[in-house]
Amino acid sequence: MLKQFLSAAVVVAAMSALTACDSDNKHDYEPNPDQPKYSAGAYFLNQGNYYSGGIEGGLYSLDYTTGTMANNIFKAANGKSLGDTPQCGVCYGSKVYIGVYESQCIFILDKYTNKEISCLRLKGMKQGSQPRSMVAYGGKVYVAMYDGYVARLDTTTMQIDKSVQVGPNPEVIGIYNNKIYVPNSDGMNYPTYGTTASVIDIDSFTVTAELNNVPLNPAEFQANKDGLYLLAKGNYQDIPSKIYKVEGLEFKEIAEASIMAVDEDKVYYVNAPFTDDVKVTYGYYDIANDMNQEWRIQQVDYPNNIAIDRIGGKMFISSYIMDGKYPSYTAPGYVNEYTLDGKFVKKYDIGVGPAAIFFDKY
Amino acid sequence: MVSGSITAGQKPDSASVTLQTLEVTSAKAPKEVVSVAPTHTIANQDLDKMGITGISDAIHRMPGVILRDYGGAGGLKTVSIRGLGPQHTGVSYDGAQLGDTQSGQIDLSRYSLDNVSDISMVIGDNEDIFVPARTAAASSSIMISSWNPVMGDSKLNLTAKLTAGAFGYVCPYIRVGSGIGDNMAWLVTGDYIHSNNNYTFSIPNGSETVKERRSNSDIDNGHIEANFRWKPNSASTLNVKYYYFDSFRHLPGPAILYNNESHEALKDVNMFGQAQYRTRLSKIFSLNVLGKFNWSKNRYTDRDGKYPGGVLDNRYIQREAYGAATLLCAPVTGLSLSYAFDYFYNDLHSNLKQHNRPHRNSILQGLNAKYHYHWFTATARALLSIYRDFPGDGEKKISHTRLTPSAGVSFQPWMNQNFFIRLNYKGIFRMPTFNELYFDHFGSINLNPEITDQFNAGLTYNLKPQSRISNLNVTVDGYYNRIKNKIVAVPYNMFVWTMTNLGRVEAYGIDLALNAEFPIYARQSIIFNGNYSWQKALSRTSRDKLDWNKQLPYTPVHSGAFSVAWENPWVSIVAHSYGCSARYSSTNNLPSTRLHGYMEFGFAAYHTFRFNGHELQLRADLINAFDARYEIVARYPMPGRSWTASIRFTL
Repeated sequence: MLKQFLSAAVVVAAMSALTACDSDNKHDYEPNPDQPKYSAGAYFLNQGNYYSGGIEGGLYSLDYTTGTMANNIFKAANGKSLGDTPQCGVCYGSKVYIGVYESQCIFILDKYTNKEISCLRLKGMKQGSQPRSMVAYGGKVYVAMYDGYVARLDTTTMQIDKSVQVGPNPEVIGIYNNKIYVPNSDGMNYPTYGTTASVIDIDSFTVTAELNNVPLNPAEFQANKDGLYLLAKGNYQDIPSKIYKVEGLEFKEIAEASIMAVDEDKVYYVNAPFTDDVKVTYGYYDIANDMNQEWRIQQVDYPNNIAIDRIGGKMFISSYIMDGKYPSYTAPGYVNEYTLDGKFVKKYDIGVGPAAIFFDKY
Repeated sequence: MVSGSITAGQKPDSASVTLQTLEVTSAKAPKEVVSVAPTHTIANQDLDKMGITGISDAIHRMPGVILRDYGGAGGLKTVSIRGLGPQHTGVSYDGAQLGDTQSGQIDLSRYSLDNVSDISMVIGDNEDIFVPARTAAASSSIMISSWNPVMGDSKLNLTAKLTAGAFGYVCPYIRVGSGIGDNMAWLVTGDYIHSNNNYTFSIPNGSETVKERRSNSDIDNGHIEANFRWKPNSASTLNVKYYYFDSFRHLPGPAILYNNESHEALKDVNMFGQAQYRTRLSKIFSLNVLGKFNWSKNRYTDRDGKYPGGVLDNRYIQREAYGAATLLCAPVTGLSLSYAFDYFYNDLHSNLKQHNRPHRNSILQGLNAKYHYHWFTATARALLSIYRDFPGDGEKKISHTRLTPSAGVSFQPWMNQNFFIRLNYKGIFRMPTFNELYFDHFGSINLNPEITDQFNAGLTYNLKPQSRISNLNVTVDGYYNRIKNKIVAVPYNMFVWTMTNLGRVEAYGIDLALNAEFPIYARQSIIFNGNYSWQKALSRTSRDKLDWNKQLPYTPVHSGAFSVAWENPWVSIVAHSYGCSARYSSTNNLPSTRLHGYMEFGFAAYHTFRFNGHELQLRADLINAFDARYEIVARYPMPGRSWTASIRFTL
């Protein structure tokens, strides 16, 4: 999750015309979170497993300079739990924002000390209370709420200043062309899943369009500078999970996949189909040549997420560990670090239920 | 010897029809001691002496039993015996097995102790062979018996009781009945429970401990039973019962950090009518016939913006028609044989889009034999089970037919000592529930029954009454159980799971029970009851699984309870305790899912005033006196210290 921040960042990074490459003096640099030049580290959020045994979640951080992973940094700094099912997060400006789904709150942390600055309790709020995904842009953090809203959190006042209603059960939102794309999964209407997406104009913060012919069970929008991609999960039975390229009102099928990461020139993906004998395949879509390729990379046991930090020059794939022939959702997982060309660097142990990965870019 | 023909649903007077043919008086030891299989009974009159405060507390006083309790008066309470899981525990009420084909487990929280004349547990099969075949269809059984109408007295019998307690608990109870002529009688009972259940709890949160209060936790239960009994002749008895239960409760849900709000509610309605006719046909043959129709409805709602229309509203209706006939034959002294034929029909309707309307036809036939000779008792049983499911959507029928055995022996090596050695085995299985089979995505139509084997070896002893000890019973049982084809959920992904027959469990352990009564001075005595269980219940599915050889979730290695009562003419006092060692909420025993062990203590005081043939009893209880804070199910904190007080009047 939280690749939506990545996608926003990628767009912006690309628009800034590769200035990040000439490494000018950091001291003269005025950080602009929407046009980052540097990346200091990565965050790994674990959901825990509240449903099975009440396992709490946690936040881990990797410092690129020292190459060390700090465990449970929220608990270490604040002496208390991050809550039940931390679902999404972003690092933006000098703060880290964490949306906690079951606890129905958003923690705002100082990114240098990891100390809690504020905790927004959302329970009972009419305009959305169940954080599902986040993106940050233009001094605001946009939070998709599973009860059918996208809320706008002002990073200065640290309050939600506006909220708009979208379709049912929005999942991972993405920014493309100054618009927020919201996949309305309608997951709670199971076994009938949704086929709509809402489009929010960032400047007016209103829903300006509703797409009605979206592939079944839309789950995640991600974009790069010249394209918007959708992962739609199907029905977990006969309709498989696939990646689509959004072309106007059409959705062009790219590949069968269950997770994806949109990079500048490629869409990396892994397909772990929902069938009895799990055969996980790794691939990428070469955007310029419009073709799928096998992705030769040291594989993980059962991938959960892919994230690419182009500025920091790193890729990550997080994974569950196996429990017999099935992945375990109650045992601690891990994350593999790779270079941008796919060379394995290191494996780090992280907590139960690896979920969102996001970066400390500035 | 206590007759082997008394079933849990029958009071001795109705069973006396067969007593003449079966009674063998070699030793006057209680059933706990002489039985071929572990059998424990708590009668109503023991409830005070053991300081028992509710049905779950009563269950705790039996060895080998693990209660799963979601806390408070409204919390679901199910019973797992010797590592086999709650779906292997049959629960019968007045002689008829209760069925829940949807979930396969019975919630004991709805049965109020006031209306229970006795509650017993049988692990495996004991020597009661004059019972319906279905009684033997589970690995172990909890048998609840309500009060029976009393014949021969046309005067009105009335017992009224009012109980009040912490967290807004109030429970009025009434039992009224009388004889009609000298061969008929009626009895009506009713109770009502209201409780807020808004108890405080604390959960650890990092280095802090968060103190909160359970909210959205109130419960209202109403319950009425009407009974009629007729003895057309000295050899026959007819019992007719109507049962109605109505409950509405809000569910607090699991305790979630930073979010103590819930909008869940559960409405339950259950009614059944049942008739049982028991007669002695000749010197050799006796017949028991049972008919029952059961209807139950439940409706779960959760208000939350994430649901379509802002509310989740699931409604289910289950129906059951049940008929059973058992023929008992006692051709020669010491030998009895029985044949039982049961048929039952179950169906399930719901408003779920993905649910069909499954129904199931079940035919069970049991052939039983029991032989008793002075120092030796042996039983053997063969059960032929035929299950036919109709998933309700035109798909293929599912059918399972199995023949399962059980056998037990008990020896008394020295005729002058009530010391017994017992051995028994039972092989049985449980059918997959409708949820496991047919719930869309989650269920799997290819499931096979879960198969269990139970081996038990025990030593039992009853000390004949002496001056210092008027009664002493000790039972020690060791066991080995296993489950094959255990139904477990495996993930498609974190949120979509399906059921398979992958699991294997092996459990072994030792159960110990001791009760003793010591007279001290006139009209004073000390009564001790205790039990202890050591239990290893290990997952043995496969070596590459993370839970290989790990203790099953929510299963303590050590657990036990005791009570000590000082009965006297003034105010009788009981101290009691239950405790268990640490458990894990996860199958792989992840350290962060460890639930610490705990021990809770309670005290009861009571006194009965007698005047003009009436009785007035006052009783006060301090529950969890030292305020132990613990969870039985992770995130479902249990109440701390609380109290109840009751007044009971008998006309």
